[in-house]
Amino acid sequence: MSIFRRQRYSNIQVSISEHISETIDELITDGLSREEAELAARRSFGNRTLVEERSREVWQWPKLESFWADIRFACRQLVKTPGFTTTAVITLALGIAVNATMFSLVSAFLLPHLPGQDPQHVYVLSSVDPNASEVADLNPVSVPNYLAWRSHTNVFSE
Amino acid sequence: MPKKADQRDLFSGALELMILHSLRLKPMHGYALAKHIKQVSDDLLKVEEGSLYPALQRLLKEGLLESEPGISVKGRPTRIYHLTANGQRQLEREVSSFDRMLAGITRVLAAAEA
Repeated sequence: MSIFRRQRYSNIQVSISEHISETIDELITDGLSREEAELAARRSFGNRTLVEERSREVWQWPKLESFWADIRFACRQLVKTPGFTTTAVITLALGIAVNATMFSLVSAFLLPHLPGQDPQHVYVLSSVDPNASEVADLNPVSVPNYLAWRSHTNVFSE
Repeated sequence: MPKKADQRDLFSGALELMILHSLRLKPMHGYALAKHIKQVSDDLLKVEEGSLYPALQRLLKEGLLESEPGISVKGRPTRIYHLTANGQRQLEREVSSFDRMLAGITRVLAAAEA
């Protein structure tokens, strides 16, 4: 927290403390006992914690800071209730695991597959004429060519 | 404080308007300001004292007010709030827009009665 902000927050506190003390003084002058005066002063002031918070909020980036506050609060709550945390974590873990398993099963057994066993190793063959004068030409390969290449080499795995 | 039937809540911006107007007369600390508004409004308006403070911070942030350290009558440290030049201009604008709003509402209510 920056020093300016600290200063501002302490100004707010000073102002509010003085307000309440002065109300109490005045009520005592009016004839109330100290306890009665303190109660009455607090009642007419309203919720002091809330008022201070609302006053500080004016200087904050409300979205971001309340987001962080929410995250910190959530973590504290989780640490405070290990039973709930464990249950939630196990539920999530099981849910994700079952989901992933189901997906692999469905994908392996129920979804249609591309023909061929190993789709990563399917290639398109083209022939290139190295002496082409202007543009490098890329020609489709005929079946007889392919059969001839296959019988003379072992680069194709069928 | 239980809400009395003859008190009413404020519309938004009303508290700020009253703060600016009250501080135009003389710089005050929070307690004096709350008391001043209460007395001048003859207790007709329900101003929870605490709600003054967020409003003061908003006005400080907008540069309409400034505050400096001071000492209350009883010798306690406090903050004294005073109007800036910007606050003075804003007050004039707010008052005239409030007047227009009031005139509008009055006219509508008068028409409904006729």
